[in-house]
Formats: sequence, C-alpha cells, structure tokens
Amino acid sequence: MNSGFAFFLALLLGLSMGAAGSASGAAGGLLKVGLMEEPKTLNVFGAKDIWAAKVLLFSYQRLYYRDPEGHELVPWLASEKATWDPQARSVTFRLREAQWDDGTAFTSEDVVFTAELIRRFRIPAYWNNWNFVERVEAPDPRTVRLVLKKPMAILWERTLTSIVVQKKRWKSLSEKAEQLLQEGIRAQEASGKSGEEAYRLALAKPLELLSTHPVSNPESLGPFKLQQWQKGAFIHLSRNDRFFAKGREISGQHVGPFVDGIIFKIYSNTDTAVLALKKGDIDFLWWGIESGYLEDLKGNPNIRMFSALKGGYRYMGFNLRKPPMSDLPFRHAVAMLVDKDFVVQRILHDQGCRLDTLIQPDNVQYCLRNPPVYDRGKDWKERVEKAKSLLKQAGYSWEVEPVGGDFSGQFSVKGEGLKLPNGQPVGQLTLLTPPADYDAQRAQTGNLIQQWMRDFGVPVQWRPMAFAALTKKVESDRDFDMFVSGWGALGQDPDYLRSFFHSKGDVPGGKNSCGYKNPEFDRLADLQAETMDLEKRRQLVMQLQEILMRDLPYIPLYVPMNLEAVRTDKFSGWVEMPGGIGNLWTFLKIRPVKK
Amino acid sequence: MNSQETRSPSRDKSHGEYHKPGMHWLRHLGENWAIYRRNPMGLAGLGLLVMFALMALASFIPPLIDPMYHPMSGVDPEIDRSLGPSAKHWLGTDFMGRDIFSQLLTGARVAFLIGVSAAFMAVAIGTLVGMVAGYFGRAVDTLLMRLADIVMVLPGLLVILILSSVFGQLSIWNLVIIVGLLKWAGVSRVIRSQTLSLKVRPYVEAARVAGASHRRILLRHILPNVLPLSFLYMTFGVTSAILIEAALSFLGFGDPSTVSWGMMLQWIWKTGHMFRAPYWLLPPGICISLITLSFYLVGRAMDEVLNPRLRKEVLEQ
Amino acid sequence: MNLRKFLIVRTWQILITFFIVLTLLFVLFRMAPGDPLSTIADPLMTQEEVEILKAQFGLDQPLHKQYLLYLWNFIRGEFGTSFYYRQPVVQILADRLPKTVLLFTTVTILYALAGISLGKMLAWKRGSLLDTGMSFLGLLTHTFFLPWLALLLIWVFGYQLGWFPLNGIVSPEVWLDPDSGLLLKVLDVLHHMALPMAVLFLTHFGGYTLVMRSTMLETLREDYILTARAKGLPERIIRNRHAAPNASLPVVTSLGLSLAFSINGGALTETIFSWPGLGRELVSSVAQGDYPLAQAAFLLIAAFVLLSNLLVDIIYAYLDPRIRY
Repeated sequence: MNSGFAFFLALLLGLSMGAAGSASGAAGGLLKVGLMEEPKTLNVFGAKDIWAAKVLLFSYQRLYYRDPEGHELVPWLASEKATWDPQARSVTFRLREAQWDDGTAFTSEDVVFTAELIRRFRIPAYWNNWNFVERVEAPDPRTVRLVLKKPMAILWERTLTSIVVQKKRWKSLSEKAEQLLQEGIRAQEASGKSGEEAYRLALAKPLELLSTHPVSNPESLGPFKLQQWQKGAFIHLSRNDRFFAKGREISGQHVGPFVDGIIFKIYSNTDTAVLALKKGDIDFLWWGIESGYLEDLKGNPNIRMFSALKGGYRYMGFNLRKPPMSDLPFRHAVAMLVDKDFVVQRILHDQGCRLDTLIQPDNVQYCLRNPPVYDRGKDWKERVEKAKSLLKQAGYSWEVEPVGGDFSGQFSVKGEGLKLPNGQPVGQLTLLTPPADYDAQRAQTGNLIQQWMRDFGVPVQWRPMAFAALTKKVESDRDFDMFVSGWGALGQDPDYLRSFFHSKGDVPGGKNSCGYKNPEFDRLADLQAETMDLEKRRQLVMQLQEILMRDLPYIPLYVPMNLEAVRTDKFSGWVEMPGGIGNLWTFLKIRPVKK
Repeated sequence: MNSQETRSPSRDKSHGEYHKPGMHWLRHLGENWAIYRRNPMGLAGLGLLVMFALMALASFIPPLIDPMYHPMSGVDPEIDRSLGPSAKHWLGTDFMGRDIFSQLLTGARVAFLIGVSAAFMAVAIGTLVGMVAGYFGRAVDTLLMRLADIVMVLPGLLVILILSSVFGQLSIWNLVIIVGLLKWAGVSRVIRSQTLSLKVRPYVEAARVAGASHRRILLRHILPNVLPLSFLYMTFGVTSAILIEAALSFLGFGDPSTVSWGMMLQWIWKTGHMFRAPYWLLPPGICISLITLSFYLVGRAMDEVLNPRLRKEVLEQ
Repeated sequence: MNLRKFLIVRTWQILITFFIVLTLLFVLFRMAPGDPLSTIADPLMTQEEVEILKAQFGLDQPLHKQYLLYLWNFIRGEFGTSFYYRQPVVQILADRLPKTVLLFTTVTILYALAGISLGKMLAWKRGSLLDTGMSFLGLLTHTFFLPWLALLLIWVFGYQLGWFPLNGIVSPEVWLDPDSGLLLKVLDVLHHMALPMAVLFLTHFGGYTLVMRSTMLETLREDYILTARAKGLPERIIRNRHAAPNASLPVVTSLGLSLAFSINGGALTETIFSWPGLGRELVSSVAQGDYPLAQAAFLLIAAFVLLSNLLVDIIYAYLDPRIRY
C-alpha cells in the first residue's frame, strides 16, 4: 500500500507540473492584471466594492471624462462641452455616435432612461448626484437636456460624469421594479401613509430587485466586454470592436485599445501578488503597494514603479463636544506640536506630501494657496513656547511645565499634569487610529502624536483599533476624544467640505463626526454648492478652507503616495494621472512591446 | 467517537491508595519525577518551557533600558524601516523601527498569559462538568455529555470569528474566556470516565455509607484523584489557546493593542516583509512552533507518568 | 443494538446537535450589542428601508415568534441576501462548497492513509532510529503554525523553485486556451491544489501517525496477536491482516473528532492560498461585516462537520461490529 500510494502521488505531481509547462505562453496580447479581491457583483447598481468598479470601468462609460494631459473634463460620450442656460436652469449637450456591444445604437434615450431609473428609485450612491434635477429630456436622439430644480455646482463634476446604462437591457427590470413600487405605495396608503412618505417607504423592494438582479454579462459601451467570469479564479475581458472611440483621436489622444483583452487574476495578499509580478504571472498589480517593496522592486530590470498622490488625505480629528478638545487654543497648541515634515520624512519615507488645508494639493483649482501653517517657520523650541503661552492665556496650567529640546519632538523638561482653566486636571484622553496592519502609517502617526502630546504634559493614550470598530465609535457612537483617519477617493469637486463640516451633518451616521458648528461656515458652504460660476465658487471654497484652518476641527496631516508596479517586458504606454496609472486611459493606450 | 466512553480506562493500581486528600501529590512527586526524568523528550520540553518562561520574565527589562524598546509604542529615533540585526537591535527592527527582540519577549509573556489562563478556564469547567456527569450519572450525565459532543464538533476558530463579527473587536480577555468555553469538552470526557471508575471504589462507597454529602465526596474524594489528569490536560489546552490566538491575530481579528507572535506575523504579512525580512519572519513562527512543541512534550511525558493509555485522545485536542 | 438502529440514533443526535447550533446562533445574533438589526441591515440603508426590513425579518415581533420565523426561513433555505454580493447567500455558498469539499476530502483521505501506514510501520520498528526520528518529525510538523508554514512553502516552491502556482484554483491561461482538454484542466486544478494540500498534510499527518503508532503498539500486546505469532504466521500477515485493522479504529475515531480542528486550518489555508472555498468566504464576510453570508457560511460548515462525523460513525460501525451500541 505504501509504495502504491507514493507512486500515485508522484504520478499526480508529475502530470500536473507537466500540464503547467505546456500551458505557459498561450495568451499573447492579453494584459494580465492582479486584483486583491474578486468583484462582488457586476450589477452596477448593486456593486459597492472598488473591485467591481475596476472591472465595470471598461463597460459603462461616462458623458464626460478627465483627459490625461490637462486633467480637465472633456467630452467622452458627449460630443461637445455642455452649455448652461441660467435663465432656464438647464444644461444641454450632444452625444457622439456610438454602439453598444450588441450592435444597437446608443442614443439620448439611454441617457434619459438611466437618469430616470436613478431618480425614480433613488438608487443609493447615484441619487445624490441627481436629486436636484427636475427633468431630463431628449429633444432628438443625439441631444440631451437636463432641467434643474435649483443650480447645483456638483452638476459638472458629478452628475455629468455619471454612468449610462442601456435602456434595452434594463427596461423590463425597471418595469418590474415600477410595478413593485406601485404595489408598495398602495400597501402603504392602505396603512394610512400618503404622498412622499408612502413613496419612500415603498422604495425598499424595488431597490432590492434592482440591486440584486444578477448581471453575468454587463452591456458594454467601452473598450472591453466581459467574455468569461470563472468565479473564484479569473475574469476575462475581450476587446469590444464596436467601441466608439477605437482608432479615433479624442482630445489629442490616439485611442486604442491595442491589446486583445484583459485577464484579472485574484491575489488576496500583497506578498503573493508582488511575487506574481516578479515571476511574470501578471503585468500590472492594480493596487497600491507599501513603500517597503520599493527597494526590492527597484533593482528588478523588468519592473517599473509609478507613484502619484492618492486621491484623498489623512487627518487628525477632534471631538469638539468634549473639553479640552472643544477649546480652540488647545487645538492650536496641538497643531503646533504635530510636526508634519517629520511625519512625512520618517513615517512615509518621503512617499507623500504634507497637507495644510483640507483639499489635496493636486486639486489646483480649489486648493487654498497660502493656508496658515502652525508647525513651520519657528523652530521646535519656539513652537513649544508658543503652544505653552496659548494654553496659559486660555487659563491652562501644568504641574511641571514642558520645555522644548533642540530637535523636533525632544523636550529638555517633560511636561506633566496639564490642568484645565477651572483647575481640574485634564483626564486621560484617547487617540484612536486604525491598526498597524490596516494602515501602518496612520497607526505610527498616532503613536508619534501621542508621544509629543504626552511629553507636553497632555495625558494621551494611543489606541489602535480595528477599522470597523473605529468607524462605529467615531461615526455612529461619537464616543471618542481624538482620532487619526483618512478620506479616500474624494474626487475633484470640493463639495465634500460641506458634508464633513456642515452642522446638518452632526447627526448619527452623518459625516460631521467632530461636531463642528459654525453658522458662517454653513452659510458659505450652502452658497458655494449653488454657485454655478466656477470663479465665484472657487473664492467661496477658499473662504471655507480659511475658516476651517482657523477653527481646526481637523488637523490636516499628509497625502500618501500611491505606489504601483508594472512589468515592462510585455507592455508599454502606461498613462500617469492623479491617483495613479490604474485609469481608463492606460488601458486605451497600452501596447504590446515589439520584440 | 464514542468508543472511549464505554472503555473505562485501566488505572494504575497505585491510585487506590491515594484517596487521602491533599497528600498524594507531595508524597509521590519525587517518585513521578523519577519516571519523568527518564523521558528525554519530556526533559527537552521542560527545558524549552523554562526558556520561554525566562523570556516572558525578561520582557519587562528592555522598556526600562530605553523607551525605544517598548514593544508597541517604542520607535528607534534613528531607524524608520525594517533593518536587520545589529548591536542595538539583536533581531533587527520592524517596519516602524520597533525592536523585534523586545516584541518577541513580550510575545512570550502574552502567549503564557493567554495560554495558561484559557487552559485553566477550560480545565476548570471540564473537570467540574466531568465530575458531575460521572458522579451523578443518568440524565445529568446524558445532558452534559451531549453538550460536550456539541461543543467538541464546533470549529473553535470559526466560532470566534463569528463572535468577533457580532461583538466587534474582541479584547484579549474576552478571547481567553471564549477559548475556555470552547475547549472544556475534551477534558470533561476524560474526567468523567475517571470519575466513573473512582465512584465505585470502596473508599467512596464507604464515605457514602458513612453519610457524607455529595459535595464532600466530590471535593474530598474524587477531585484530588482527578486533579493530576486535569493538570495534564491543561498542558494540551495551553497549546490550543496559543494557536487560536495566533491564528486570529494573523487573520487580522486579534486585539491590535497587544503584541503577540501572531500579531507580529500579521504585521509582516500585511506590510509586505514576508519574503524580505527573514530575521523578522522566522523568530515568531519558530517560537509559536516551539512553545506548542514544548507543551506537547511535557504533556506527553506527564501522560506517560500518569496514564499511558489516554494518549491518543489527547493528541486530538 | 443493530446497525440500523445505531445509525438512526446517531442521525437523531446529529440533527439535534445541529438544531442546537442553529438556536445558539439565533441567540448570539440577538445578543449583539445595539440594535439586533445591525446584524441584518445594510449600513447604507435609509431609516425607512430599515423599517421595511425589520418587518420583513419579523423583528417587530416578540422574540419567540422571531425564533419560529428564523427556523422557518432556515427550512425554506431562505438565508437572505448578502450585503456585498447583492445575491442570495445560498447561490454564493453553492458555488464555494464544492471547492472546499474537493480540497478537504482529498487531503483528509491522504493524511489518514499516510498516518495509518506510517504509524503501523513505526510501531513495528519501535525503538529504532527511524521510529524516534519520524515520531519527532510528526510531532514537530504537527506544531507548525499553519500560516507560517504556508507562506514558507509558497516562497520556496512557488517562487524560488517555481514548481507550483502561488495561489488560486486554476490558471486562466490553461482555461482560456481552446486546445486545453478536460484532462489538462483537471491537472491544472491538481497543480493548484498541491501546495495547500501539502500544508494541510504536513500539519495533520503527524497526529494520525502518532495515534496509529500507539494503538498499534497496544494491539501488538493483545493475546490474539501473541497467538498468531505462536502459530508461526509470517510477520507481514500479522502486521497487516491482524493488528493493523483493529489498531486503525481509533484513527478513524479521531478523524471525526479532529475534523473541527482541521476545518480551522482549512479556513486559514484557503485564505492564504486564495482558494475560493467556504472557509475563505467566512473569513472575508466576517471582515466585511456581511452578516447574512457569515451566518450561513458558518451553518454550512457546521453541517459539513456534523455530517462528516456521522460518516465516520458509519465507517466505524462497519469496521468494528463490536462497538455498535
């Protein structure tokens, strides 16, 4: 039995290794891309994960898209710049000639249908870009007109970059959903609800139907279409020969695609994915990697690294509902102690940049030019003195007053026992961060800030906490003192400042977790949201940032780099854009390397 | 899986004489040690265990030398990445410039803390349940043993995963309690069969005839005689608790404010140092392996001293 | 007790056990701090949607009615919709189950067989260098921390030597090639299975080897073996025909008992090798807070463990007619 068993094993091993040998080199012009997880669903209205977004990027197209050179919005499915009519509160644009992958023509009907679907069923994640639209019209198959209830500045960046689905594909489902909605409304009315309330309550079922509808093969208007999805293993996209921009010149770019297709492979951890890249199993890892890999990959002649600022930032937030965080001098003093240059250099290893306002520096249009800087200009010793005098003026006192040392973060006398203006000692404060394995940089920044504040005499305890638990504590329970966290994928439109700090957002589940309340800010934030004139809006957004940087509900910390790695031996032509090389343009321009 | 139930273990005859409470351990410690000493693997295990205990004790020293040796929050001011061993950092530094050696020492402390306390809980519950089930028999027995059956087939790690999904992050002490609650079943089986054979011994009968209460019989006559077995099972329980904590931490569900070996491995994995920092990857993995091995070896050697026939069940715990 | 009756009794016990696990899970999810709905409601839902859902799951009902509804939903196979997949949970798990069963059953059979034959041999040659060496090796591999071993193997055999794929279940290159026949595809899957199987095998065979070794040693001291020896039967026959079958019974038993333990290892292995099975799905659904999926995956794994236990009992009863009771 023993020898038979061993023989059987050896046979299997030998055969399977032989199989692998014969298979290599089969796929030619296929670009192999590594993902860290499988998309959860390819139903565009149900998908919430970034992995689905990556795969769907190639099917569903947008009316306007950012061009790779000037990074401005340029017509994509639309054929020209949209015209705004302030009198009629309407925006009009024309569409390109295009075909879906099944051969049917793309018309304004599709755009109207998509908008109506989102509006009628208030599809989450889309509806907030459309809820200010009064009606959508299609005067002819190539023209679309949106009439707004009130002017809304996010129209340009958000509404007009929203996706378009095919009417033919979704019509019958939307009719079923409509039927469910009607039934629901009737049922609600029978139980005494009416009007808007009945409608809202009746939405759950049709929404469930729409978002859970299985989509095995999303309709494509883009450069690739889904060929095969082997669940748990890989996704194969092939070139869509009906793609409208194929071989054309769009905003000065010669558009492909020049590859036969894309294979997505799934690696659930970075280590194996990077090994796969080194081994040549994939050509591109669509996931930012830790700077720890940098040295290792730099020496590899077949691998090239790209870095770009991530589309978001990291900050430290205060709970303004609790003393001493509610005191402006306290927040100013902390801002003086938090040495961002030190953080960028020591923790990010210079793979990132410091942040002094709440809009990313690469958002040139809206980023505040000369924000107040608290941790620069004076040397460390002076900053400690300044922070001390700020607190003293506000009535704080110490048991042992801190004295700054010669280097950043050093104290020649460590402070002890900070007391509130009323003489009470400042109780133990907690600084929450995500755990080191989720984001080592944030965790370590928290650790540093803890050290600085402690030596300054503020009793702070750094506490790494699982990300979900942290979110719950900060966003739902509002049970925290200070935290270091971040926002990602904020996009170019600055309207997020309104959702982060408007007093209306200070409700459970709202985004204003700091509890910042400032009527002046609220007024300006509401005003900028309705200002269609870009220059006027820009001025308002600058004012918002000035207010925030004076009041400091957040201390902006840094913007990390997105490090991406590709193989250079099979493909070339990666396109660098804000956020990294994982953008549609890369896949439109990339070509096999000629041998 | 019920075969052991019917087969009452054949105990070494000496047990009959041990019924005088409290005395038997001391009196026979020397004798047992003589048997134990003949087992080289057992001695090796004991040696390893002593080494880990020393490591755990030593873990208090580095932070006293310099705050940068604090395993969680101490960062070398001159090092900001993972570097190999040096005079200042004997095992090198992790991705933030923390000292790996002091983390490893702290890991030993955490492993003992978790392992011993979880195993103690499991064994305490298991001994109690086993004695009660064996002594009272009938419905009580059936009920408790069916319960043990259920607990025994539950995949512990996955149960804890589910618990952490419902209750959010589990602290290290919650973890200890849960592991204790999940691991008592195996012990209770063995203690029960031991109790079954003890309760028909003449001296127990005699005590009963003399009018001793159930509690008195259980505490004075049965408990002292099952305790050595319980103690043996504790050594096996320790390893399973350590492994569960390590696996949980590795998957990212551990207590992020604790430095354990599993957590160290999780840091390596998540920060992409797995294949580039052998000085960091190897020590925690080897330590987990060795501490598990040492408890096994000690347990097996003790097993030989106490009862050679139960070995096969033990291995599966 | 005859075989049929024994099986009926065991089946009942298993069913009751499963029922209790089901109930415990209900209690657990209702014990969750905060709104019990947090375990079924999607965090992005509006208050209104949540109210609707509450009614749909009967959460506005008294507890005992909720419990009955929960059981009824279970019987109907209604586990709800996964938050993240936006698909019925049943569909997702139906896709994952065969992959887990494939990996797990294969490797279980492999290490049980290896453990039995190796243990038999070691007992026969007890005291030899081979015995001491292998026993120690078995113990050592048994104590390896599974994720650590897995990563070590990936590094050596997947990367340095390049003999095996790093992870996953198939190579798209093979499956997309129109020339690949069924055989090639099967071999491709086996090729991917090799490393995860090696990890599970190494961490498990030691336990079985040692159990087999010790029971074999005991069996060899039994009277009937001595009789066989006295009759002058060849050693091989005594070892393989007389001693081994009886000695392997406890191994079969421990197979059932240790299943729960190895399922844990399975979840870790699947996660590290991105093997699209139940264990990995459970881990990731827990990490993402996808409660309906986590709950159902756990129930399915529990059912799998219980059924396997039943199977082990059947095999056991079949192998050893004395034990039926």
